[in-house]
Amino acid sequence: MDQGAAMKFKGILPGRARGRALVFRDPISFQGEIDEEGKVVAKGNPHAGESVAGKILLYPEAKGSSGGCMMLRLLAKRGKKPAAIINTRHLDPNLVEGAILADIPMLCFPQGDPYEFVSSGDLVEVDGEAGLLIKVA
Amino acid sequence: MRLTDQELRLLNGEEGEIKALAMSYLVKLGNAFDGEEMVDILYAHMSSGSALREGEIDYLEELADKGSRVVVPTSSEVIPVDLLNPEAIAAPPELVKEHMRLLSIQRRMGIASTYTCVPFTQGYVPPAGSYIASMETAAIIYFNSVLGARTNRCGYFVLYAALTGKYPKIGYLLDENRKGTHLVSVEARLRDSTDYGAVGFYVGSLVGSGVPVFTGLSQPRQEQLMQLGAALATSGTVAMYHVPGITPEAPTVESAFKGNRIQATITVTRKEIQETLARLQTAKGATVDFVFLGCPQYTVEQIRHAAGLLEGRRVHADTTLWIGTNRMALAMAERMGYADVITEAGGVLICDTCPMLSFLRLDALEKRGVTGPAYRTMLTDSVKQAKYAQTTIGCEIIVDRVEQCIEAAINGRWEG
Repeated sequence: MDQGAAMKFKGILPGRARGRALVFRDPISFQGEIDEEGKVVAKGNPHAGESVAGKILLYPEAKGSSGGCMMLRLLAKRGKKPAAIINTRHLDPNLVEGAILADIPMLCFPQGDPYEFVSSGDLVEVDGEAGLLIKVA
Repeated sequence: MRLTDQELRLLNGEEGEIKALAMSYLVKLGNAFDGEEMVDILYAHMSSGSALREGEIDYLEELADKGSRVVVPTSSEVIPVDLLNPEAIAAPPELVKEHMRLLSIQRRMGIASTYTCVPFTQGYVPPAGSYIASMETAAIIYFNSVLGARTNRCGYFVLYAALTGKYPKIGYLLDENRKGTHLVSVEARLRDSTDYGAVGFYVGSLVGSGVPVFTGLSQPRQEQLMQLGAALATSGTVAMYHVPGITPEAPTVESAFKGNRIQATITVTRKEIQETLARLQTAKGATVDFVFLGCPQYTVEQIRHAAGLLEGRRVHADTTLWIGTNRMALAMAERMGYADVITEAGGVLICDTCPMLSFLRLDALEKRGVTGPAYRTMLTDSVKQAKYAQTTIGCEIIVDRVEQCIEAAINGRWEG
Protein backbone atom coordinates (compact mmCIF):
# COMPACT_ATOMS: atom_id res chain seq x y z
CA MET A 1 0.00 0.00 0.00
CA ASP A 2 1.28 3.48 -0.84
CA GLN A 3 1.24 5.17 2.51
CA GLY A 4 0.22 8.81 2.32
CA ALA A 5 -1.20 11.16 4.89
CA ALA A 6 -3.74 9.55 7.21
CA MET A 7 -6.57 10.82 9.36
CA LYS A 8 -7.77 8.99 12.44
CA PHE A 9 -11.44 8.13 12.97
CA LYS A 10 -13.34 5.77 15.18
CA GLY A 11 -13.54 2.45 13.37
CA ILE A 12 -17.20 1.40 13.23
CA LEU A 13 -17.26 -1.64 10.96
CA PRO A 14 -14.15 -3.61 10.02
CA GLY A 15 -12.85 -4.10 6.50
CA ARG A 16 -10.52 -2.42 4.04
CA ALA A 17 -11.44 -0.53 0.92
CA ARG A 18 -9.79 1.61 -1.71
CA GLY A 19 -11.50 4.01 -4.08
CA ARG A 20 -12.14 7.58 -5.13
CA ALA A 21 -13.61 9.83 -2.47
CA LEU A 22 -17.06 11.32 -2.99
CA VAL A 23 -17.58 14.10 -0.47
CA PHE A 24 -20.96 15.59 0.45
CA ARG A 25 -21.12 18.58 2.77
CA ASP A 26 -24.77 17.90 3.67
CA PRO A 27 -26.59 14.82 5.01
CA ILE A 28 -27.82 12.38 2.36
CA SER A 29 -30.53 9.72 2.29
CA PHE A 30 -30.23 6.33 0.63
CA GLN A 31 -33.95 6.38 0.04
CA GLY A 32 -35.01 8.89 -2.54
CA GLU A 33 -31.70 10.64 -3.05
CA ILE A 34 -29.79 7.68 -4.53
CA ASP A 35 -31.45 5.36 -7.03
CA GLU A 36 -31.30 1.57 -7.31
CA GLU A 37 -28.32 1.79 -9.64
CA GLY A 38 -26.38 3.85 -7.14
CA LYS A 39 -26.81 7.15 -8.96
CA VAL A 40 -27.30 10.37 -7.00
CA VAL A 41 -30.74 11.66 -7.98
CA ALA A 42 -31.26 14.33 -5.31
CA LYS A 43 -32.33 17.51 -7.06
CA GLY A 44 -29.85 20.34 -6.64
CA ASN A 45 -27.19 18.08 -5.11
CA PRO A 46 -23.71 19.07 -6.35
CA HIS A 47 -23.05 15.38 -7.16
CA ALA A 48 -26.38 14.73 -8.90
CA GLY A 49 -25.89 12.25 -11.73
CA GLU A 50 -22.72 10.72 -10.24
CA SER A 51 -22.56 7.11 -9.02
CA VAL A 52 -21.74 6.03 -5.46
CA ALA A 53 -20.63 2.57 -6.68
CA GLY A 54 -17.11 1.76 -5.55
CA LYS A 55 -16.66 5.21 -4.00
CA ILE A 56 -15.53 6.11 -0.51
CA LEU A 57 -18.46 8.23 0.63
CA LEU A 58 -17.85 10.96 3.15
CA TYR A 59 -20.75 12.99 4.53
CA PRO A 60 -21.93 14.38 7.86
CA GLU A 61 -24.72 11.91 8.64
CA ALA A 62 -27.61 9.91 7.22
CA LYS A 63 -31.01 11.47 6.96
CA GLY A 64 -34.48 10.52 5.87
CA SER A 65 -36.57 7.40 5.72
CA SER A 66 -35.45 4.13 7.30
CA GLY A 67 -35.67 2.40 3.92
CA GLY A 68 -32.04 3.41 3.48
CA CYS A 69 -30.86 0.16 5.04
CA MET A 70 -32.61 -1.96 2.42
CA MET A 71 -31.23 0.25 -0.29
CA LEU A 72 -27.63 -0.48 0.72
CA ARG A 73 -28.41 -4.19 0.76
CA LEU A 74 -29.84 -3.95 -2.74
CA LEU A 75 -26.89 -1.92 -4.02
CA ALA A 76 -24.57 -4.62 -2.67
CA LYS A 77 -26.54 -7.36 -4.44
CA ARG A 78 -26.27 -5.40 -7.68
CA GLY A 79 -22.56 -4.70 -7.29
CA LYS A 80 -23.26 -0.97 -6.98
CA LYS A 81 -22.43 -0.46 -3.33
CA PRO A 82 -20.07 2.21 -2.08
CA ALA A 83 -16.63 0.84 -1.12
CA ALA A 84 -16.78 2.47 2.31
CA ILE A 85 -18.89 4.98 4.21
CA ILE A 86 -17.51 7.71 6.44
CA ASN A 87 -19.86 9.82 8.53
CA THR A 88 -18.40 12.81 10.28
CA ARG A 89 -21.04 14.05 12.69
CA HIS A 90 -23.46 11.33 13.71
CA LEU A 91 -23.81 7.57 13.33
CA ASP A 92 -27.25 6.37 12.32
CA PRO A 93 -28.06 2.77 13.38
CA ASN A 94 -30.21 2.31 10.29
CA LEU A 95 -27.29 3.08 8.04
CA VAL A 96 -24.96 0.86 10.06
CA GLU A 97 -27.43 -2.02 9.67
CA GLY A 98 -27.33 -1.54 5.92
CA ALA A 99 -23.54 -1.43 5.97
CA ILE A 100 -23.34 -4.69 8.00
CA LEU A 101 -25.65 -6.47 5.54
CA ALA A 102 -23.79 -4.99 2.57
CA ASP A 103 -20.40 -5.72 4.18
CA ILE A 104 -19.16 -2.13 3.87
CA PRO A 105 -16.41 -0.82 6.18
CA MET A 106 -17.41 2.29 8.12
CA LEU A 107 -15.71 5.10 9.97
CA CYS A 108 -17.11 7.95 12.04
CA PHE A 109 -16.05 10.74 14.39
CA PRO A 110 -12.86 12.16 12.81
CA GLN A 111 -9.97 13.62 14.77
CA GLY A 112 -9.64 16.78 12.67
CA ASP A 113 -11.51 18.30 9.74
CA PRO A 114 -11.94 15.62 7.08
CA TYR A 115 -13.39 18.16 4.63
CA GLU A 116 -10.00 19.89 4.65
CA PHE A 117 -8.21 16.56 4.41
CA VAL A 118 -9.96 14.97 1.47
CA SER A 119 -11.76 16.14 -1.68
CA SER A 120 -13.99 14.37 -4.15
CA GLY A 121 -11.91 12.44 -6.66
CA ASP A 122 -8.96 11.79 -4.32
CA LEU A 123 -7.79 8.17 -4.27
CA VAL A 124 -8.11 7.03 -0.65
CA GLU A 125 -8.04 3.93 1.49
CA VAL A 126 -10.16 3.06 4.49
CA ASP A 127 -9.13 0.73 7.28
CA GLY A 128 -12.22 0.03 9.34
CA GLU A 129 -10.36 -1.88 12.02
CA ALA A 130 -7.71 0.76 12.68
CA GLY A 131 -10.10 3.63 12.05
CA LEU A 132 -7.93 5.21 9.36
CA LEU A 133 -8.60 7.19 6.21
CA ILE A 134 -5.41 7.18 4.16
CA LYS A 135 -4.60 9.29 1.12
CA VAL A 136 -2.95 7.18 -1.52
CA ALA A 137 0.00 9.07 -2.95
CA MET B 1 -20.58 -6.90 24.46
CA ARG B 2 -21.56 -8.76 27.58
CA LEU B 3 -23.94 -11.55 26.61
CA THR B 4 -26.09 -13.67 28.87
CA ASP B 5 -25.97 -17.47 28.73
CA GLN B 6 -29.19 -17.46 26.75
CA GLU B 7 -27.78 -14.93 24.26
CA LEU B 8 -24.61 -16.97 23.90
CA ARG B 9 -26.69 -20.07 23.17
CA LEU B 10 -28.46 -18.15 20.42
CA LEU B 11 -25.17 -16.86 19.04
CA ASN B 12 -23.53 -20.30 19.13
CA GLY B 13 -26.27 -21.83 17.05
CA GLU B 14 -27.83 -23.97 19.78
CA GLU B 15 -31.23 -22.67 18.69
CA GLY B 16 -30.59 -22.98 14.98
CA GLU B 17 -28.51 -21.34 12.28
CA ILE B 18 -30.98 -18.53 11.57
CA LYS B 19 -31.01 -17.30 15.14
CA ALA B 20 -27.22 -17.58 15.24
CA LEU B 21 -26.93 -15.39 12.14
CA ALA B 22 -29.47 -12.94 13.55
CA MET B 23 -27.55 -12.69 16.82
CA SER B 24 -24.22 -12.22 15.01
CA TYR B 25 -25.67 -9.23 13.12
CA LEU B 26 -27.11 -7.76 16.32
CA VAL B 27 -23.77 -8.17 18.11
CA LYS B 28 -21.94 -6.41 15.23
CA LEU B 29 -24.42 -3.57 15.49
CA GLY B 30 -23.96 -3.40 19.26
CA ASN B 31 -20.19 -3.31 18.91
CA ALA B 32 -20.36 -0.52 16.31
CA PHE B 33 -22.09 1.62 18.93
CA ASP B 34 -20.05 0.48 21.95
CA GLY B 35 -23.10 -1.33 23.29
CA GLU B 36 -22.49 -3.14 26.56
CA GLU B 37 -25.42 -5.52 26.57
CA MET B 38 -28.56 -6.74 24.83
CA VAL B 39 -32.11 -6.05 25.97
CA ASP B 40 -35.24 -8.12 25.56
CA ILE B 41 -37.68 -6.37 23.28
CA LEU B 42 -41.46 -6.45 23.73
CA TYR B 43 -42.55 -5.72 20.19
CA ALA B 44 -41.26 -5.29 16.65
CA HIS B 45 -42.46 -3.33 13.62
CA MET B 46 -40.68 -4.68 10.58
CA SER B 47 -40.31 -4.04 6.89
CA SER B 48 -42.69 -6.31 4.99
CA GLY B 49 -40.27 -6.79 2.16
CA SER B 50 -41.14 -5.39 -1.23
CA ALA B 51 -41.52 -7.19 -4.53
CA LEU B 52 -40.06 -4.03 -6.07
CA ARG B 53 -36.69 -4.84 -4.47
CA GLU B 54 -35.26 -8.07 -5.75
CA GLY B 55 -34.83 -11.00 -3.43
CA GLU B 56 -36.60 -9.64 -0.36
CA ILE B 57 -39.66 -11.88 -0.47
CA ASP B 58 -37.56 -14.89 -1.49
CA TYR B 59 -35.32 -14.29 1.52
CA LEU B 60 -38.28 -14.29 3.90
CA GLU B 61 -39.64 -17.44 2.26
CA GLU B 62 -36.29 -19.14 2.79
CA LEU B 63 -36.49 -18.24 6.48
CA ALA B 64 -40.10 -19.46 6.71
CA ASP B 65 -39.19 -22.73 4.95
CA LYS B 66 -36.52 -23.29 7.59
CA GLY B 67 -39.20 -22.92 10.26
CA SER B 68 -38.28 -19.42 11.44
CA ARG B 69 -40.93 -17.63 13.47
CA VAL B 70 -40.89 -14.31 15.26
CA VAL B 71 -40.76 -14.56 19.05
CA VAL B 72 -42.35 -11.18 19.91
CA PRO B 73 -45.56 -9.49 18.64
CA THR B 74 -44.62 -8.21 15.20
CA SER B 75 -46.46 -5.88 12.83
CA SER B 76 -45.40 -5.05 9.29
CA GLU B 77 -44.83 -2.05 7.04
CA VAL B 78 -46.57 -0.65 3.96
CA ILE B 79 -46.21 -2.60 0.67
CA PRO B 80 -46.30 -1.43 -2.99
CA VAL B 81 -49.92 -2.44 -3.72
CA ASP B 82 -53.37 -2.43 -2.16
CA LEU B 83 -54.08 -6.13 -1.69
CA LEU B 84 -57.70 -5.63 -0.65
CA ASN B 85 -58.79 -3.62 -3.66
CA PRO B 86 -56.02 -3.72 -6.27
CA GLU B 87 -58.36 -2.97 -9.20
CA ALA B 88 -59.35 0.42 -7.79
CA ILE B 89 -55.80 1.70 -8.19
CA ALA B 90 -54.95 -0.45 -11.24
CA ALA B 91 -52.19 -2.25 -9.37
CA PRO B 92 -50.11 -4.53 -11.62
CA PRO B 93 -51.40 -8.12 -11.20
CA GLU B 94 -47.90 -9.62 -11.00
CA LEU B 95 -47.07 -7.41 -8.01
CA VAL B 96 -50.35 -8.34 -6.33
CA LYS B 97 -49.53 -12.01 -6.85
CA GLU B 98 -46.07 -11.62 -5.31
CA HIS B 99 -47.52 -9.85 -2.31
CA MET B 100 -50.20 -12.51 -1.83
CA ARG B 101 -47.26 -14.89 -1.61
CA LEU B 102 -45.67 -12.61 1.00
CA LEU B 103 -48.93 -12.59 2.97
CA SER B 104 -48.82 -16.37 3.39
CA ILE B 105 -45.11 -16.27 4.29
CA GLN B 106 -45.83 -13.69 7.00
CA ARG B 107 -48.63 -15.87 8.33
CA ARG B 108 -46.27 -18.84 8.61
CA MET B 109 -43.69 -16.69 10.41
CA GLY B 110 -46.21 -15.25 12.89
CA ILE B 111 -45.99 -11.70 11.50
CA ALA B 112 -49.18 -9.61 11.41
CA SER B 113 -49.86 -8.34 7.89
CA THR B 114 -50.78 -4.85 9.04
CA TYR B 115 -49.12 -3.02 6.12
CA THR B 116 -49.05 0.17 8.07
CA CYS B 117 -46.73 3.06 8.90
CA VAL B 118 -48.70 3.86 12.07
CA PRO B 119 -49.08 0.56 13.98
CA PHE B 120 -49.80 2.46 17.21
CA THR B 121 -53.23 3.37 15.78
CA GLN B 122 -54.02 -0.33 15.48
CA GLY B 123 -53.46 -1.72 18.93
CA TYR B 124 -49.66 -1.86 18.94
CA VAL B 125 -49.16 0.53 21.83
CA PRO B 126 -46.03 -0.42 23.76
CA PRO B 127 -45.97 1.05 27.27
CA ALA B 128 -43.66 3.95 28.18
CA GLY B 129 -40.19 2.75 29.05
CA SER B 130 -40.45 -0.54 27.16
CA TYR B 131 -37.79 -1.59 24.64
CA ILE B 132 -39.00 -2.24 21.11
CA ALA B 133 -37.48 -2.47 17.62
CA SER B 134 -39.17 -0.46 14.89
CA MET B 135 -38.43 0.64 11.37
CA GLU B 136 -40.44 3.40 9.61
CA THR B 137 -39.22 6.80 10.74
CA ALA B 138 -42.74 8.15 11.20
CA ALA B 139 -43.52 5.31 13.62
CA ILE B 140 -40.14 5.36 15.38
CA ILE B 141 -40.44 9.01 16.35
CA TYR B 142 -44.01 8.55 17.59
CA PHE B 143 -43.07 5.53 19.71
CA ASN B 144 -40.19 7.43 21.31
CA SER B 145 -41.72 10.85 21.68
CA VAL B 146 -45.43 10.38 22.29
CA LEU B 147 -45.64 6.89 23.80
CA GLY B 148 -42.25 6.93 25.53
CA ALA B 149 -41.35 3.43 24.35
CA ARG B 150 -37.71 3.09 23.28
CA THR B 151 -36.58 2.25 19.77
CA ASN B 152 -33.74 3.15 17.48
CA ARG B 153 -34.09 4.10 13.84
CA CYS B 154 -33.99 0.44 12.93
CA GLY B 155 -34.07 -0.85 9.41
CA TYR B 156 -33.87 -4.40 8.19
CA PHE B 157 -32.50 -5.56 11.55
CA VAL B 158 -35.98 -5.48 13.04
CA LEU B 159 -36.31 -8.90 11.41
CA TYR B 160 -33.35 -10.23 13.38
CA ALA B 161 -34.65 -8.59 16.56
CA ALA B 162 -38.07 -10.20 16.01
CA LEU B 163 -36.52 -13.64 15.41
CA THR B 164 -34.46 -13.48 18.62
CA GLY B 165 -36.38 -11.04 20.85
CA LYS B 166 -33.10 -9.15 21.35
CA TYR B 167 -31.61 -5.78 20.43
CA PRO B 168 -28.37 -4.12 21.55
CA LYS B 169 -28.84 -1.45 24.21
CA ILE B 170 -27.61 1.48 22.16
CA GLY B 171 -28.77 4.84 20.82
CA TYR B 172 -32.26 5.88 21.83
CA LEU B 173 -32.58 2.93 24.18
CA LEU B 174 -30.22 4.82 26.51
CA ASP B 175 -31.33 7.74 28.73
CA GLU B 176 -28.38 9.92 27.71
CA ASN B 177 -29.40 9.98 24.03
CA ARG B 178 -33.02 10.91 24.74
CA LYS B 179 -32.24 14.26 26.37
CA GLY B 180 -33.24 17.46 24.60
CA THR B 181 -30.66 19.31 22.52
CA HIS B 182 -32.60 22.21 20.94
CA LEU B 183 -35.35 24.41 22.34
CA VAL B 184 -38.12 25.21 19.87
CA SER B 185 -40.49 28.02 20.65
CA VAL B 186 -43.59 27.81 18.46
CA GLU B 187 -45.11 31.27 18.36
CA ALA B 188 -47.56 30.65 15.54
CA ARG B 189 -50.98 29.24 16.38
CA LEU B 190 -51.01 25.90 14.55
CA ARG B 191 -54.31 25.25 12.79
CA ASP B 192 -54.07 21.76 11.38
CA SER B 193 -51.87 18.76 10.67
CA THR B 194 -50.27 20.45 7.67
CA ASP B 195 -49.06 23.30 9.89
CA TYR B 196 -47.55 20.72 12.24
CA GLY B 197 -45.87 19.10 9.25
CA ALA B 198 -44.39 22.43 8.16
CA VAL B 199 -43.06 23.08 11.68
CA GLY B 200 -41.53 19.60 11.74
CA PHE B 201 -39.93 20.03 8.34
CA TYR B 202 -38.47 23.42 9.24
CA VAL B 203 -37.12 22.27 12.61
CA GLY B 204 -35.83 18.94 11.25
CA SER B 205 -33.74 20.76 8.68
CA LEU B 206 -32.08 22.76 11.47
CA VAL B 207 -31.52 20.13 14.16
CA GLY B 208 -30.28 17.19 12.03
CA SER B 209 -30.05 14.30 14.47
CA GLY B 210 -30.84 16.41 17.52
CA VAL B 211 -33.67 16.03 20.02
CA PRO B 212 -35.87 19.14 19.79
CA VAL B 213 -37.98 20.24 22.76
CA PHE B 214 -41.16 22.03 21.71
CA THR B 215 -42.87 24.75 23.67
CA GLY B 216 -45.95 26.66 22.59
CA LEU B 217 -47.94 23.70 21.27
CA SER B 218 -51.45 23.82 22.63
CA GLN B 219 -52.96 20.34 23.14
CA PRO B 220 -51.90 18.78 19.84
CA ARG B 221 -54.02 15.92 18.54
CA GLN B 222 -52.66 12.47 17.83
CA GLU B 223 -52.80 13.12 14.07
CA GLN B 224 -50.95 16.42 14.47
CA LEU B 225 -48.17 14.76 16.44
CA MET B 226 -47.97 12.04 13.77
CA GLN B 227 -47.48 14.74 11.15
CA LEU B 228 -44.94 16.67 13.25
CA GLY B 229 -42.84 13.55 13.77
CA ALA B 230 -43.05 12.32 10.19
CA ALA B 231 -41.83 15.71 8.97
CA LEU B 232 -39.00 15.98 11.56
CA ALA B 233 -37.75 12.58 10.36
CA THR B 234 -37.97 13.61 6.71
CA SER B 235 -35.87 16.78 6.65
CA GLY B 236 -33.65 15.57 9.49
CA THR B 237 -32.69 12.31 11.20
CA VAL B 238 -34.76 13.12 14.24
CA ALA B 239 -35.91 10.00 16.12
CA MET B 240 -37.06 11.69 19.30
CA TYR B 241 -38.63 14.97 20.32
CA HIS B 242 -40.14 16.23 23.54
CA VAL B 243 -43.36 18.06 24.11
CA PRO B 244 -43.15 18.73 27.85
CA GLY B 245 -46.33 17.52 29.48
CA ILE B 246 -47.01 15.02 26.69
CA THR B 247 -43.76 13.07 26.30
CA PRO B 248 -43.96 10.62 29.24
CA GLU B 249 -40.38 11.13 30.43
CA ALA B 250 -40.55 14.95 30.24
CA PRO B 251 -43.24 16.60 32.36
CA THR B 252 -41.32 19.91 32.15
CA VAL B 253 -38.83 21.66 29.86
CA GLU B 254 -36.11 21.14 32.50
CA SER B 255 -36.73 17.40 32.65
CA ALA B 256 -36.66 17.21 28.84
CA PHE B 257 -33.10 18.56 28.78
CA LYS B 258 -32.02 16.72 31.96
CA GLY B 259 -29.02 18.99 32.39
CA ASN B 260 -28.04 18.96 28.71
CA ARG B 261 -26.78 22.27 27.30
CA ILE B 262 -29.31 23.89 24.97
CA GLN B 263 -27.42 23.91 21.66
CA ALA B 264 -29.71 26.45 20.03
CA THR B 265 -33.11 28.05 20.41
CA ILE B 266 -35.36 28.04 17.35
CA THR B 267 -38.38 30.28 16.98
CA VAL B 268 -41.18 29.31 14.63
CA THR B 269 -43.65 31.96 13.50
CA ARG B 270 -46.27 31.92 10.73
CA LYS B 271 -43.56 33.23 8.38
CA GLU B 272 -41.39 30.10 8.74
CA ILE B 273 -44.42 27.87 8.21
CA GLN B 274 -45.46 29.68 5.03
CA GLU B 275 -41.92 29.76 3.70
CA THR B 276 -41.47 26.04 4.36
CA LEU B 277 -44.66 25.10 2.50
CA ALA B 278 -43.75 27.44 -0.35
CA ARG B 279 -40.25 25.94 -0.59
CA LEU B 280 -41.71 22.44 -0.84
CA GLN B 281 -43.86 23.50 -3.78
CA THR B 282 -42.31 22.63 -7.14
CA ALA B 283 -45.43 22.88 -9.34
CA LYS B 284 -45.71 25.99 -11.48
CA GLY B 285 -49.28 25.63 -12.73
CA ALA B 286 -52.50 25.13 -10.79
CA THR B 287 -53.77 22.02 -12.62
CA VAL B 288 -53.72 19.01 -10.32
CA ASP B 289 -54.10 15.46 -11.64
CA PHE B 290 -53.32 13.60 -8.40
CA VAL B 291 -54.47 14.42 -4.89
CA PHE B 292 -53.06 12.23 -2.13
CA LEU B 293 -54.13 12.33 1.52
CA GLY B 294 -52.98 9.95 4.20
CA CYS B 295 -49.26 10.13 4.88
CA PRO B 296 -48.93 8.91 7.56
CA GLN B 297 -51.99 6.71 7.00
CA TYR B 298 -55.20 8.48 7.91
CA THR B 299 -56.91 7.59 11.16
CA VAL B 300 -60.64 6.86 11.28
CA GLU B 301 -61.21 10.44 12.41
CA GLN B 302 -59.30 11.88 9.45
CA ILE B 303 -61.27 9.64 7.06
CA ARG B 304 -64.49 10.88 8.64
CA HIS B 305 -63.40 14.48 8.13
CA ALA B 306 -62.40 13.93 4.48
CA ALA B 307 -65.67 12.07 3.79
CA GLY B 308 -67.59 15.02 5.25
CA LEU B 309 -65.84 17.37 2.81
CA LEU B 310 -66.63 15.07 -0.12
CA GLU B 311 -70.24 14.27 0.71
CA GLY B 312 -72.56 14.82 -2.25
CA ARG B 313 -69.75 16.15 -4.45
CA ARG B 314 -67.78 14.72 -7.35
CA VAL B 315 -64.04 14.42 -7.93
CA HIS B 316 -62.98 16.05 -11.23
CA ALA B 317 -62.83 13.69 -14.22
CA ASP B 318 -59.13 14.48 -14.86
CA THR B 319 -58.07 14.17 -11.23
CA THR B 320 -57.32 11.08 -9.14
CA LEU B 321 -57.98 11.24 -5.40
CA TRP B 322 -56.40 8.63 -3.11
CA ILE B 323 -56.92 8.59 0.64
CA GLY B 324 -54.46 6.23 2.29
CA THR B 325 -55.20 4.20 5.39
CA ASN B 326 -54.79 0.76 6.91
CA ARG B 327 -56.96 -2.34 7.17
CA MET B 328 -58.24 -1.62 10.65
CA ALA B 329 -59.28 1.97 9.95
CA LEU B 330 -60.76 0.87 6.63
CA ALA B 331 -62.94 -1.72 8.34
CA MET B 332 -64.27 0.97 10.68
CA ALA B 333 -64.73 3.47 7.82
CA GLU B 334 -66.76 0.87 5.95
CA ARG B 335 -68.99 0.17 8.93
CA MET B 336 -69.52 3.88 9.56
CA GLY B 337 -70.39 4.58 5.90
CA TYR B 338 -67.42 6.95 5.34
CA ALA B 339 -65.94 4.61 2.72
CA ASP B 340 -69.14 4.70 0.65
CA VAL B 341 -69.23 8.50 0.72
CA ILE B 342 -65.66 8.66 -0.59
CA THR B 343 -66.28 6.05 -3.29
CA GLU B 344 -69.53 7.69 -4.43
CA ALA B 345 -67.67 10.98 -4.81
CA GLY B 346 -65.15 9.24 -7.07
CA GLY B 347 -62.32 9.07 -4.57
CA VAL B 348 -60.39 5.91 -3.69
CA LEU B 349 -59.83 4.87 -0.09
CA ILE B 350 -56.65 2.83 -0.36
CA CYS B 351 -55.08 0.38 2.03
CA ASP B 352 -51.68 -1.26 2.50
CA THR B 353 -49.73 1.08 0.23
CA CYS B 354 -48.79 4.71 -0.43
CA PRO B 355 -47.55 6.48 -3.59
CA MET B 356 -43.87 6.86 -2.65
CA LEU B 357 -43.52 3.10 -1.98
CA SER B 358 -45.95 1.88 -4.63
CA PHE B 359 -45.89 0.66 -8.21
CA LEU B 360 -46.11 4.35 -9.20
CA ARG B 361 -42.42 4.74 -8.40
CA LEU B 362 -40.42 5.68 -11.47
CA ASP B 363 -38.09 2.69 -10.98
CA ALA B 364 -41.09 0.32 -10.79
CA LEU B 365 -42.70 1.86 -13.89
CA GLU B 366 -39.44 1.63 -15.78
CA LYS B 367 -39.20 -2.11 -15.10
CA ARG B 368 -42.61 -2.50 -16.71
CA GLY B 369 -41.52 -0.49 -19.75
CA VAL B 370 -43.40 2.69 -18.82
CA THR B 371 -41.39 5.88 -19.19
CA GLY B 372 -42.17 9.09 -17.39
CA PRO B 373 -44.24 9.68 -14.29
CA ALA B 374 -47.81 8.40 -13.91
CA TYR B 375 -49.00 11.81 -12.71
CA ARG B 376 -47.78 15.30 -13.47
CA THR B 377 -48.73 17.19 -10.31
CA MET B 378 -49.42 15.84 -6.83
CA LEU B 379 -51.26 17.89 -4.24
CA THR B 380 -50.97 16.51 -0.71
CA ASP B 381 -51.47 17.58 2.90
CA SER B 382 -48.28 15.75 3.94
CA VAL B 383 -44.80 17.25 3.77
CA LYS B 384 -43.25 13.79 4.03
CA GLN B 385 -45.08 12.48 0.98
CA ALA B 386 -44.38 15.75 -0.83
CA LYS B 387 -40.66 15.49 -0.26
CA TYR B 388 -40.29 11.84 -1.25
CA ALA B 389 -42.85 11.69 -4.08
CA GLN B 390 -40.92 14.38 -5.94
CA THR B 391 -38.01 12.04 -6.58
CA THR B 392 -39.61 8.59 -6.26
CA ILE B 393 -42.71 9.07 -8.40
CA GLY B 394 -41.34 12.06 -10.29
CA CYS B 395 -44.26 14.48 -10.04
CA GLU B 396 -44.38 18.14 -9.24
CA ILE B 397 -45.66 18.96 -5.79
CA ILE B 398 -47.98 21.28 -3.93
CA VAL B 399 -48.60 20.99 -0.18
CA ASP B 400 -51.78 22.39 1.34
CA ARG B 401 -54.26 21.60 4.09
CA VAL B 402 -56.85 18.88 3.64
CA GLU B 403 -59.76 21.26 2.90
CA GLN B 404 -57.83 22.82 0.00
CA CYS B 405 -56.77 19.38 -1.24
CA ILE B 406 -60.37 18.18 -1.44
CA GLU B 407 -61.50 21.41 -3.18
CA ALA B 408 -58.74 20.95 -5.75
CA ALA B 409 -59.73 17.31 -6.28
CA ILE B 410 -63.23 18.48 -7.12
CA ASN B 411 -62.20 21.43 -9.31
CA GLY B 412 -59.16 19.78 -10.91
CA ARG B 413 -57.30 22.95 -9.98
CA TRP B 414 -55.59 24.21 -6.87
CA GLU B 415 -56.69 27.67 -5.80
CA GLY B 416 -53.75 28.45 -3.51
